[in-house]
Amino acid sequence: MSPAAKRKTPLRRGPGRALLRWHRRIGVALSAIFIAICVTGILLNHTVDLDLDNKRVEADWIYKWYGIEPEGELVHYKVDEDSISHFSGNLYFNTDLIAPSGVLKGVASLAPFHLALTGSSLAMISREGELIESLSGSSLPAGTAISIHSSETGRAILETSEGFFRADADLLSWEKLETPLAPSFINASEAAPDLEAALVASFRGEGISWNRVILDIHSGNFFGPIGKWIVDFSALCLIFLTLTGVWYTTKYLKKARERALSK
Amino acid sequence: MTKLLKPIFTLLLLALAYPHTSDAKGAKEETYLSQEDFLTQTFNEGVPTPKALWLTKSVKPTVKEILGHDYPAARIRYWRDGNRSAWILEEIGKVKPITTGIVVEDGKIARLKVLVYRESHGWEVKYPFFTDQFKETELTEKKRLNKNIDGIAGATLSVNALKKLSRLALYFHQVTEPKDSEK
Repeated sequence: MSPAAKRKTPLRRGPGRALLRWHRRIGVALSAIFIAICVTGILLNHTVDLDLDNKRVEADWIYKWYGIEPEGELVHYKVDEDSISHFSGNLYFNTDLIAPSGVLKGVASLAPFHLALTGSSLAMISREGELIESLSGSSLPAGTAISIHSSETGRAILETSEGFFRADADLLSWEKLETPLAPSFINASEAAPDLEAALVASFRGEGISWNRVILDIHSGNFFGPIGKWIVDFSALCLIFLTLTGVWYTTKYLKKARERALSK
Repeated sequence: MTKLLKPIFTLLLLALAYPHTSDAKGAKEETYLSQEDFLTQTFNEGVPTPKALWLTKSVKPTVKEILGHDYPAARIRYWRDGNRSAWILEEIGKVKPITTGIVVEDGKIARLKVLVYRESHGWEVKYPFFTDQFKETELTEKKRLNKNIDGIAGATLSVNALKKLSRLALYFHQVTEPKDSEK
């Protein structure tokens, strides 16, 4: 047996060899996570320098990942020069949020205000975009509301499953129409791209900062509860790698010293 | 080596595929009494024609003082028959509005009933043991209730919301009181 082969034999059999094997395995398997933790750690160290707190995420998929995603389609009506829209459970006048609401079934424009029929309630909106009143239940005629129109005389006409009803000027009472008048319709239209973008921005509010995303990746929260445990596990592994690394280095240096002395 | 790597990478992929959505518990909207039934029970001789109270510049400051914010509408619908008025008002408990029916008679609360509750916690405020405390309550000059209302542990925000609404209804009743010449 050659001297080199003699030196290798104890390493292969001892516990040190097994530790080295695990040191390598863990190092390779978790290398990507270690790099991610280190890179995000460096970035977080420079949050102020990089202004990460004020930089907002634009990527749609990140908002989707965080569950900040609009639900349903944008329903838009052009009323005179203004827009009334329903987007992700909210009613908007132009880009201003009016109130949470059901799906927008139709709008009507009367001289003093606009009307928006949403789900089972009727929103009275001033021409300045202020919610005057949200009518529901006993404030509306019997039956399921189907559509809202305006008559030639400027009164609101509500179609329900029970027929057509005309409101008084203040929308405080309704009378059933035996012969429906010729109501005027406002049809839904496609929203302008800039309005749609503004509604998405309004829905997202302040949005998510890059600092939050990087911090979440660093802590593992970005990947949900499992991610946090993986990062915890990786941290323990990193401690293991450090200890085994120090142990090996010490052992190597000791052997190297012995070899140098024996020469 | 690959034997060990496979499960680790599988675990990582699973973590990535795990849906990362907020743990928002879906609060269920519960209607305890419809507006129609509330009004029918309030006015035995028939529900009067509704009237509208516009929140004008003279009313708004007091509304804001009571609620701590503006009321989210420009006018309030109410029903009045003589000295008895009925109000259906909304105020947010924690995140969602609580729809409450309040009957005021001769400047005192005659009945307070939670009509619709949308929050996930604090629904205990619907029970009569709590709402009955408001009976006979009046508004002081400082626009506060003249009686102490005992709270409910774990439902503080809902309790506060109902206290505010009761003060609001009493104030609205005062504001809409017919003048002697109109009586």
